[in-house]
Amino acid sequence: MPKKTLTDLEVQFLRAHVVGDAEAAEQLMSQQLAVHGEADALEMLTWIAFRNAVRMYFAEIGQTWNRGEVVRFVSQVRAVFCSEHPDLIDVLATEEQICYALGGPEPTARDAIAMGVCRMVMLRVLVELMELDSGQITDLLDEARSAVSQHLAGAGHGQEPSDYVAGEGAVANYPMQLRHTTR
Amino acid sequence: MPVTDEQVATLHAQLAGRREEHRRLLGELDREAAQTGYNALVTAAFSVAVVKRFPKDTTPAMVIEFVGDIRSASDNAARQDARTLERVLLAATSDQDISDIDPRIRFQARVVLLAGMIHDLQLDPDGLDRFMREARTLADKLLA
Amino acid sequence: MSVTDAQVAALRAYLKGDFEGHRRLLKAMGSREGFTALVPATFLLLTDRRFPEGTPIGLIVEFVGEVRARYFNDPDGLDPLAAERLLAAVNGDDPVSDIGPGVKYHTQLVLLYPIVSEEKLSNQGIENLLAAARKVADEWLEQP
Repeated sequence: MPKKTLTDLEVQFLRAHVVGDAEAAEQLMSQQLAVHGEADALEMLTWIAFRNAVRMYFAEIGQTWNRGEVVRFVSQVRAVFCSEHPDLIDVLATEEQICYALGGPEPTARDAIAMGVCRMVMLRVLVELMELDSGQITDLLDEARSAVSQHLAGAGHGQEPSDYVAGEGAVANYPMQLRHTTR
Repeated sequence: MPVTDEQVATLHAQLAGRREEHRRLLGELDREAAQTGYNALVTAAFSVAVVKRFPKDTTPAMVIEFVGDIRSASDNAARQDARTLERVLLAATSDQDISDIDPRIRFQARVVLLAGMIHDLQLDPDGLDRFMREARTLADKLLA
Repeated sequence: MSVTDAQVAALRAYLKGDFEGHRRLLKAMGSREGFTALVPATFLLLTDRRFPEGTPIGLIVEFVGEVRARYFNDPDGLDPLAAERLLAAVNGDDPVSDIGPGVKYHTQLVLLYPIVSEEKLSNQGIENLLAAARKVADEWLEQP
């Protein structure tokens, strides 16, 4: 499988989207596709930026989250930002992804494009709600970029224990319950 | 055939929060009569509640937030489809067309929305009795 | 066949967060069989300590959520459902026989470091854990 890399164009595209510059975003995407033929790393970049923005926002408002709070939050966002286009984002997909970003269960499988749209829209909304300035947006995207690049290069370090599991070889079926084990 | 006392008691129990009683009464309803009578009662109650809960200048944003409140109440509530609930309510407050929504789903949505509206209206026992009488009167007209 | 000192050393490095050291020792290890028995044995004892019998599943779910948030940049690094089930299985009834051995092993291994960190095990605590786990693993390895 060919190795993916995250390009400057992909990062600039996401930045343009986040600040609401639709024209620039479109141009950057066209460039990316013309030069590289794909924008595969963008999905992971968007996910990580979205996830971090969600955590930042909920930490900022001091919210200990539960599903109900997320439902209410999404409805408030839609009421303010999407009442003219109520079908813009899939409600359930958005709720599930926010819960997931906060450590909740993995979302049920659904349309990848719908999920991508939710993340992009919510990322922009969160940046606006937190009133992030240019420098803070740069920080947010840089952090996401760094995480994506690490992952793609296959060289995690620090708090990524899974990166250190180098091939297990044959793995037998050992007992999973304590009561089946003599101590 | 007009709405029966049993049908009224069934809906009343649900809106008063007496779940066990509601479930029992629902099970005891005559199936055939309920298809028309109970449905008409719920539809009528829904219409009456909308008028009381949502003023003339209700915006889509208010509907979205109201549905969000309902769905945030519990895990079960969260499973309800947001857009269906919004559209069914918007059909009552504005001119939205919902003919593409299956009648059974429309009915279920109205039940959920009705419970939410009654909760918001904070009716005392007398208030709920008056509400049920209004709904019954309207339902009988629909059935006539 | 029994667990070797080198294999214990490799797991010790991992539990202490010395991932580079762990990787080095793993490469130099030769046969992995003892190590792949030591990991689930350690997991059983460590999980029993962290989530003794009677622990409500909610606490396990919460813990997995926190671990994913705090220890993983890539959310796919840990399968939350497998993690919850494997943790709960230690003092529960779920035979988890439908989860592939590779996934079980990997999930258990990646959970060890966060649990040790959260439990704030001292060096002595880690030694005690490894000694006890080694005994259990040796018993398993003896069986035909």
